[in-house]
Amino acid sequence: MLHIGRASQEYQLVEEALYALMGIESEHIRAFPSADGLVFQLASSADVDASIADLLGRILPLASAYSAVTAFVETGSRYEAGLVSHALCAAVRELLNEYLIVVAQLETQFGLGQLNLQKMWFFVQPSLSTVTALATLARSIRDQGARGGSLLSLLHEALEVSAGDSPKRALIEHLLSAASVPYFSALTAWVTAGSVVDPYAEFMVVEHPDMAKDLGLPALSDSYWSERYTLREAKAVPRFLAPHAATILTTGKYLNVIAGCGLPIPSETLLPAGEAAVAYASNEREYAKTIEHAHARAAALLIDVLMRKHALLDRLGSIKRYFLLSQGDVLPHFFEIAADELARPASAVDIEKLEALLELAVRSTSARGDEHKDELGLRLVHTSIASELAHINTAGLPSGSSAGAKAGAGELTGFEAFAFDFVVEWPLNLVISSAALTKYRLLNRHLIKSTRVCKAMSAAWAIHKLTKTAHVQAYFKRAYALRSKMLHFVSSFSNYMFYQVLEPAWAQLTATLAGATSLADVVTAHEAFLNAALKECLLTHPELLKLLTKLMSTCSIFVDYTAHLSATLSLDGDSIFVIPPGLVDSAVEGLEEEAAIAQALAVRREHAAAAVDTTATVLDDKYHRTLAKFEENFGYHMRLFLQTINLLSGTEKHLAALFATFDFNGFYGDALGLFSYA
Amino acid sequence: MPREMITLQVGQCGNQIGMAFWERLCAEHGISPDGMLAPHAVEGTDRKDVFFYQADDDHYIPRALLLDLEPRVIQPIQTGAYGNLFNPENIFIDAEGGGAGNNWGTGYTKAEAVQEKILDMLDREADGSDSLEGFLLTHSISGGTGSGMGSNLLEKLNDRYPKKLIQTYSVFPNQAESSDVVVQPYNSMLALKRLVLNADCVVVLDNAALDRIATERLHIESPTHKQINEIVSTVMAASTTTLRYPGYMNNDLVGLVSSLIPTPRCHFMMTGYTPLSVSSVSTSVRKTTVLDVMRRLLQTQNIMLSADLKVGCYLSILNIIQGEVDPTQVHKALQRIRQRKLCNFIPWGPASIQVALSRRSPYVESAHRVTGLMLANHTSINSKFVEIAASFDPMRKRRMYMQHFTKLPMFADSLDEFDDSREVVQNLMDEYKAIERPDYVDWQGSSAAAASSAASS
Repeated sequence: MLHIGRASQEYQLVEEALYALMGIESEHIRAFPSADGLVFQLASSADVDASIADLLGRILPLASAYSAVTAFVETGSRYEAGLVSHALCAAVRELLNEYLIVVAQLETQFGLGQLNLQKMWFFVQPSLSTVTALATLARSIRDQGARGGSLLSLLHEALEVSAGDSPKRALIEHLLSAASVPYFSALTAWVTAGSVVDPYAEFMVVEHPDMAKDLGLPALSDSYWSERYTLREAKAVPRFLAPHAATILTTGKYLNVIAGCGLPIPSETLLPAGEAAVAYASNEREYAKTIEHAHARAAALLIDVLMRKHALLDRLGSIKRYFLLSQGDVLPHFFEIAADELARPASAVDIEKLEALLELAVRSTSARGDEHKDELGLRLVHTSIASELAHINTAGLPSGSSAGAKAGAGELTGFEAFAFDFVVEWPLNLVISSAALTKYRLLNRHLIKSTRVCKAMSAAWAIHKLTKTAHVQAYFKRAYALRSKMLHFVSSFSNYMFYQVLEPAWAQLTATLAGATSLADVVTAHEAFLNAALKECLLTHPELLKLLTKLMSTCSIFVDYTAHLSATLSLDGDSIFVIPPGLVDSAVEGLEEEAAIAQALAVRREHAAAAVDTTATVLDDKYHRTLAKFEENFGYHMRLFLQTINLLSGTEKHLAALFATFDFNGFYGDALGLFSYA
Repeated sequence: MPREMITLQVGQCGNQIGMAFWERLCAEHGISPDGMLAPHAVEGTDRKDVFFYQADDDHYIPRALLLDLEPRVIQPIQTGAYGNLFNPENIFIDAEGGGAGNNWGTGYTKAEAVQEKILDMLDREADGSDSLEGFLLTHSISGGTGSGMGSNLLEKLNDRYPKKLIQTYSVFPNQAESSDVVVQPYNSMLALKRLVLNADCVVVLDNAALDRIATERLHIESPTHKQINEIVSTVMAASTTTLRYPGYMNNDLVGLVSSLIPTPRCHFMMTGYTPLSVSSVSTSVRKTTVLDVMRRLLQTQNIMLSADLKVGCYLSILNIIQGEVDPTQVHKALQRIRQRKLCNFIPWGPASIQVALSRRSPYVESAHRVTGLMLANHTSINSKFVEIAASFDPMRKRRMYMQHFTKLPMFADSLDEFDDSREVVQNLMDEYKAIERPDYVDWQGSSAAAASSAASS
């Protein structure tokens, strides 16, 4: 351009610069494509005055920035960029319009011949800072591929970085506020209606629609709560909402549970009075308060549904009645009428018949008044309590079905495999999940076992009581004492479980539930209850459980032996101890009634005396040896059991209580030299 | 299976306390005196079928036999408010109507004479039960009918239903009071033998202690029979509460008594109850907690046995706690009692306080938030037998008033029965003494000696 003078040069380049500011290439100001957009530069061939070149060097970056921003707006407005990006681009476009107005004014001045580069530089300076700021943002957005939540995070970060630069800060604030509108409207829909309105997969909550089916099926319900709605990966959550993400997620989940119950959601009540939506605000407290309000309200609504409409406490009460045996007449009655069926190997038991008998049992006991009795069922669990526990411990969650887990060698009887079952419907299965029911079933079988041994010990007592008319009390003393020890063991253990573990834990659970303000509180309290119950009933301590099982089976075998012995001695029926009714009658036959009484009394005495000899022969050495074996066996395991409990009771409060229960009168503690921690 | 209990109330005292018991049960189950369910009591989770059955018209009938040898007590029952409650076929008043004249022998003999009729009544009641658990006898041991007829019934029940449980609520006489029944020690001793050999569990209702409690605890100057019976019925109702309001444990009688009675002959229970109140006397209402109740139950003044509980030891204790119980307190209370050694137990085996938390009838108002009943097996019950023996022995030695008995055919030839009874009771006393010792299990006992002497005779 040497052939023209400086003034013409400037005139020419002002015009070309105006083109460049509108993104148009010209003869001397060339545009080079770059990753951001076009980069405008004075062509190297253009030999211009140094001062002009200097001015252009300051103005042209604006043109490049404008081009970059335009490019950004163009890609950012595309469909796949998402709503946040669309909103941001719309805001940017407005800002660009302002910039274009400035350019147009410059053009007018140029037409009037009043524009030179110096003036131009003066006028574009305000735009320069805005547009270059936009271009910088655009670059980082593009570089990071930010969209949706991460785009908002990026803006928020930029806002923090620009703390000292108030015009820039105002600019970003403006952009963030505009860009967050669609996100917050999705947020509003979620926390007020539980709906996910998110066509571009931007929102922090993801819905997994295939989980929507079969709400009532227990197998699905456990995972429903945890899997139906989840949080998107952390970077998709706007950083300023991250502290509230969990609250936001549960709020909508609560609402969905309510909707799943077929109940309307009073959306308008979820936000604080006077607020129509959750909106972005520079002060975090503002939207945090709104979110918390919605959460508290949704939680309260759901608690109301659970507690009032679905009577959770009532249902738990029914479960306690059956699974935890709190109303003890149902099970004994059922076991009595179903004894034949339950005595078979578990695989040979006719389930349908059992079910019919259970229904009958429920109807004829005090449970008939229970309005949830129809939800009661039964199940045979074909594995021992210990192996089922081991299974839970290793697998985390038990598989609901017991198929395939059968141990070939020692098949359980129906009695041993029996457990109650309970139909828990949506939404109560969120609390009483299938995992919770498995725990209830374990407790159920455990409690049944000890009450059955208790009952068997009472039966042994009833056999022993037949011997009280015998003049040979001394023969039985050791058997009485052993039976009494065994009975003390099982009944103390049952008593401990019922009144020192379950009842207090239950009282605490109901108190907590009464004050619960959210489903999470309820679930946590219920799980804590079950876990404490399992632990304190010794189910989670394999070694103690093994000893317990051993002791119980020793008791059962002793009862069998006692029954066998009584049959041998015919304590039953035609007893040698209890005078058979016919005997007195035959002795008095034909005599005057009153006079006969004295003779009858004499017969009694003779008979009792005769019994001594018979007893002495039957209760020979073998009897004493057998008894000694039982004493030794029971004593040995009791010792181990108590020593183990004692050893652990320094740190485990419940074991200290259990030890004190067994050792209430100091009998064991003195004998074993153990100190009680209780 | 209701595990039915059939109640037999025998003699004047037996029928009076029996009646008080039924009035109480009716109130607790919301059954009106005519046997119909009160409208407020239709939906209950109680078990009425243990003590009642339903007639065709749905009214509830007690599984009860009302037996007496004279009409004095039963007739007013029949004409009174509860007249239609009982099955008239279950009421037996001896046709002669002369009573037993406070003579055990007469009661026993007369019962023997009418045994067929009474056994028919019994069998009919037993057949009407699905799963009969046992019998509950209310009587006094000191008079004629409750004592003698009661003894006879105990033998018959034991013969006929050896596997069923026989529980008695037996009123023991106040030995300190002079009695117009001069042969009371004889009657008591002869009845005691049956309580030892033919009953499985005897709840001792000690008249001396009942009077003491009425005057000292309830501040009634001269307690009436009615007031005493109200105390008794409170105890009876509370001790059957776990059968009627099923809970975790003790839902049948055998479960309840088996842990109370480690060795079959030592089956004499004492009771305690707190806080006690009778309807006619207003008592101050105190704050009651499980801990208060369990501690007070171990205090002599609340125990219905006039004996020194500082000597001897407990074989077992069952506390039945009713009302608004804070279950977390149970453990605390047990711990405190254990630490402070508030009760002594046998040294030869494990023993403890078993606790049963039981529901309370929603239809009967109680002034107290928590009430507790203690059923306990304590060796100091021996003092009752010692007292009876102490009045029996000198009389027997001098054959005092023996003519009342020898005039009866059953004692015409021999008074062996007196000595036999004395021996049985002596064995019991010896056993209660021995059971306090650490070597009880190896104790050969007077019974072995007695047995061999019996065998050689």
